[in-house]
Amino acid sequence: MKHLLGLQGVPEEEIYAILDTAKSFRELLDRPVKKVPSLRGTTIVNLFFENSTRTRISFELAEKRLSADLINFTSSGSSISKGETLLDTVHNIESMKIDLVVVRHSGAGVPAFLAKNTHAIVLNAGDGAHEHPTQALLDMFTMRQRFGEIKGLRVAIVGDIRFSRVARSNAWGLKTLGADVVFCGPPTLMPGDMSDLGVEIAPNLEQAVRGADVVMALRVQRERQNDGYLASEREYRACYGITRERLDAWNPSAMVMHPGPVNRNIELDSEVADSEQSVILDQVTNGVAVRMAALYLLAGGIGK
Amino acid sequence: MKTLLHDAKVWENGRFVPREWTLLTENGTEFPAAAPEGIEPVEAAGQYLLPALAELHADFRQPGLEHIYTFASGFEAMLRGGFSCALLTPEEHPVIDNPSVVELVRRQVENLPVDMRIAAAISADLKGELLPEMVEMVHAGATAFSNGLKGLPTTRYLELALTYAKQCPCRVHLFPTERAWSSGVSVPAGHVADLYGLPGRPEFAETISVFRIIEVARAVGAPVHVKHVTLPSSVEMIAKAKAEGVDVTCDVPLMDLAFDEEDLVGLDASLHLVPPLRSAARRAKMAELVRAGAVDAVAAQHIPVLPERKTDHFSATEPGSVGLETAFPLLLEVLGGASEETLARAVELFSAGPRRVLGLGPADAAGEWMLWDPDATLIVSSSDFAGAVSNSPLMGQTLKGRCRALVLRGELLGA
Repeated sequence: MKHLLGLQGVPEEEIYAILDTAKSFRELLDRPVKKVPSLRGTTIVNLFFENSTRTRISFELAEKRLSADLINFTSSGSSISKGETLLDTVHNIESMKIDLVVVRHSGAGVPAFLAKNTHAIVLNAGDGAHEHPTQALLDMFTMRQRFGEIKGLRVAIVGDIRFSRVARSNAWGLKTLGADVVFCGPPTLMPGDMSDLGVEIAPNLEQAVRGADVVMALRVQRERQNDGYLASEREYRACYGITRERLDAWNPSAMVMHPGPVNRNIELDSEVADSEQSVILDQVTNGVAVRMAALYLLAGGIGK
Repeated sequence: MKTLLHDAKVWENGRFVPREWTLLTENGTEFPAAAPEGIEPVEAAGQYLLPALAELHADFRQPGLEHIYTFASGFEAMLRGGFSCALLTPEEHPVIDNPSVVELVRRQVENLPVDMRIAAAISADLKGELLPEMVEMVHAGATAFSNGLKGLPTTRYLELALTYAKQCPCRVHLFPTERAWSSGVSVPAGHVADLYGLPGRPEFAETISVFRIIEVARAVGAPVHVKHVTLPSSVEMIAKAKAEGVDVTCDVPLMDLAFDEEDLVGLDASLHLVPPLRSAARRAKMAELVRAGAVDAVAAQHIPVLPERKTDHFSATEPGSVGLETAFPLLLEVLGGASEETLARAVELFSAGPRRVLGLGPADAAGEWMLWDPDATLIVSSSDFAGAVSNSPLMGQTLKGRCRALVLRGELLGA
């Protein structure tokens, strides 16, 4: 694997290679000394063109635990709006002899664009509504921790599917590993054509949640209401909120996940988010291990 | 000026006639039995003398964006592509929406050997709210009206504008789109948009707008041209309206016949185009309709974009492609080869058809010809394009045939 641009088309063995490697790093995170010298001498730039707290911190921590040298670049909005093209920005950074670029951007396809136009190794930390591969990998790692196997699992992903890179990456990765994926959300927030993803569409929340091993709630963005996709948060919760009552009635044993940050009592009730069923904080911890694994495996190609 | 061709095949009333000698002068075309003395003949064995082409959407970026492209660059592109006529479309740099700007443009283009015609804006600032001085703009040199690639916001404004335009001898060129889908990233709604999570432009944004234009044109009795239709159902609506007596014409963007939605996988910014590319099935059906003669014209849609506005991620890039230089060989490829039958069809679509839309007679009757070499091969590179742009999705591709020269009123240009 030269880059990690998304999970579409990534073969099963490569996904398992990351998940298996992450397992070792996850064990490391429980030790008193959490640092290894694996990426000593490797220079990584975290290129965040979009606001992010947890993903950026998770990557930073992963890079520090691997002893890489890192630089943070944060800028919201298009580089064009500042009078500089994205390519110029990247060439400037590349001139500083960077080995690996971790990039987040609001534009779909930015990581692929960088991979095509630079010599650096590119890791996608989220591009528009397209893909967020490390989030899906940490979700799969967390599922594997609980269930042992991904194959045969039924994963319900609920909410704003249309604008969710998390949903897309999870669908690609989970399908490759043999899980069944079911999407559910308000019709205005569902893509029109999901034939490529090969997922099932549930007509209502009950059908999505019943029989699912995993229920993943997605974050509802406030701007969706302003853009006319949603009537109100109240109505969203009434139709698609993961509440205690619904879980008790339909699926008391499902594992509950959320990519964070959670809008409590809108897409996910506090009572559920803070319950034994929820693995939200495990996802955060596992995220560091999974990102360490992805960085480690990608950087393995440096100098070869 | 006189040009003497040796052994060219000459377009005469829709047929190709081999002529040993063809003498082109300011006053017309003659076929002398022997070479007239004192004129150096141009060898044209195996080449065709075709009516010069006409383009219905040229944005040469002047006035206002001369750092990108100029009328001189546009003239160069027309020469290379075999175009003697192009309709300048009103865009926002500044908008051609008052007599002074029309006059300014006219003065800059009127002495060029080619015919650059001015489409003035059908609404002030292209906003679709206030009427511009249409009569005065016609007096200043406008020969058509248009709203560029912007949709009109209300049917009421469309009715007002078409009604007001009736006092001018001009066809109104309208791009069928709902205003809400006039800006932002241009990809079709469908599986590729959903793959990347991009907001796709639905087909009904075009078809509803086509219906609206037809119905208002029917009610008002104004001549309209529907620009850049991409869907078979749009073509069918227009054909039906024509049969019912509505004065409506249409063109199909050439790139939509050459590429489709599947080509957008990978988000190549050179395919960021308005209107968006459609599905492979729609493209195939449109090509069939174009071959069958169901549309009046094709349009190259010449929109120069600087390299830095194309070297970014897809959503941040500017839509548009340059195309005059490569348009005719690409159309032949789309139509299925270089037989004389195909060549005749291409002449109809890129010369006679668009000229009728513009109210002009045949190019050959006006002494405007293109010398076409069907055996030349063009491997498209940046040097094939005029100006400092090369925003074409055809870069690196091989095209068969090439315009060798324009012959305008006896004068050989661009050879």
